[in-house]
Amino acid sequence: MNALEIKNLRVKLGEEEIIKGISFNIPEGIITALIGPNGAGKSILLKTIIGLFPYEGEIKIFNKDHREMLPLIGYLPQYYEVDSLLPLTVYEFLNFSCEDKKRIMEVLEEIDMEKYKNHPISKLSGGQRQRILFGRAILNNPKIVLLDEPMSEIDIVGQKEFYEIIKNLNKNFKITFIVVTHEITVVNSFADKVLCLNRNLICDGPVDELFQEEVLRKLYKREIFIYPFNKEIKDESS
Amino acid sequence: MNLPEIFSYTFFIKSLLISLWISLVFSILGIFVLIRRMSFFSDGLAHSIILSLALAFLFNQNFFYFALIGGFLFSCLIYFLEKKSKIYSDALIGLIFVFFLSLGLILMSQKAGYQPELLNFLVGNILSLNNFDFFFVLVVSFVILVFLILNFKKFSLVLTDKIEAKIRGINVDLYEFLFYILLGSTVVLGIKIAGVVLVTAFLILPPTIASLIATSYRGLLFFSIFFGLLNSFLGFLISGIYNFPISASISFVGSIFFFIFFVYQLLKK
Repeated sequence: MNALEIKNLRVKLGEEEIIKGISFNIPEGIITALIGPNGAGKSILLKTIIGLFPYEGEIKIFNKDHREMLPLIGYLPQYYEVDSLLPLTVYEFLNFSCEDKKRIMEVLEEIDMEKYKNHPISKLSGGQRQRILFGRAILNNPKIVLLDEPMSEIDIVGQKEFYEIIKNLNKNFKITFIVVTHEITVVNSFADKVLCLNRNLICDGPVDELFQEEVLRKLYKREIFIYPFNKEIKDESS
Repeated sequence: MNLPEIFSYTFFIKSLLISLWISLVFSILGIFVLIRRMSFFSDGLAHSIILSLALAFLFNQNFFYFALIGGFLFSCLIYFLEKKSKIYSDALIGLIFVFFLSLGLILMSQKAGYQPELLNFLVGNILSLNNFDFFFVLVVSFVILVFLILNFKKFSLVLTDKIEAKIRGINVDLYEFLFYILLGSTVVLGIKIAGVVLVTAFLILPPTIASLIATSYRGLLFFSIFFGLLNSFLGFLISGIYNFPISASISFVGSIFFFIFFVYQLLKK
């Protein structure tokens, strides 16, 4: 079954067409990397899936209109501004989204942040905050999780741990992940499928087939080299 | 007056109780006003109520009927214009409240003679509440309080993170609209007690003091209610003993608490 089906999707912001009639499917239980240059429409695509922008076309989640399926979606935004004056603990922040105390503690353990339970969220580092936002995205047992540049504030070691968490959740709970990323050198190591977006869909398929320098050249309109580094990570983790 | 003498007057106890009650509603709602940085909204709304006051005078009707309608209209106008126009919210509030206020003053000028009631509305006079006002404030604020408590987490999420609220299936537009209406109605209820000039202080002081002390959201709620009630109680006592205006005394006590904790915070750093 497809977790996500998109047909002839067009999204306009004012007069400008940001997404120009794209179609693709994402099967249930896989990890998809969504890559593309700045301004390609990646974040707009995720926000359209969660119902924030009007569109033309069709968006279906598990064969139903996406607006009916919002509670099955977890979402980690690209930017999250924390109100530094608001005394809100990590636990309270998660509790706004989920009443189940046991589940909150499970998630905090999963993301290795249980010791920060009573810590004000405004006092966390960027990386720690990303972890908490990721925790919130998986809190209500979603079937599909959209992550918009989740590694943007996380150091290299943290990134590897983060990818491991994503992989484990994907493996153990069959959660479908769509991850927007600029870290193209590590996509090979964690994604099953790649979508290349630059307003149009440039590529759509398994990483091995489509994650080629030639495709990247077409996507970014310049020379891109894939360093062997990513291969090492893949070998190590598999 | 001394303390035992103050508490021997029924009207004083009655006024103190209604003041404590309305402070409770204000201190909870004030947290959301603080989060959404809407203190100017409440200030603008309070000033725009002068139009309702003028109409109530001209038609010789109870202030609250006109004020609730006026507060509702002002809240709706700001809510929809913020969504539809490309003007900054504070500029919008400034423009609309000036329109309401100026029209109110023009209408007011048509009523001949000195209007002592006007001063009551500007600085508030809880002792001017008649039995109907008392009952009206109690019932409406009770409905607001119950609604706020039942939906506290939903409001918290909508006002801190609209996207997450939407994903969690909350009708964000509806809750935002309801928040504007609740805030508008609460400010209206507080005007006879706190006055146009000081009603925002009743709303903002308790959560602001609380935000200086609290280390959690629960703490923010607790201290906001605590200082809301304490400001009212001490303000009432000072007002009774020294014969000061009540709303000014309550606001003054709150301001003193604020400065104490503010300086404490500065020294702590």
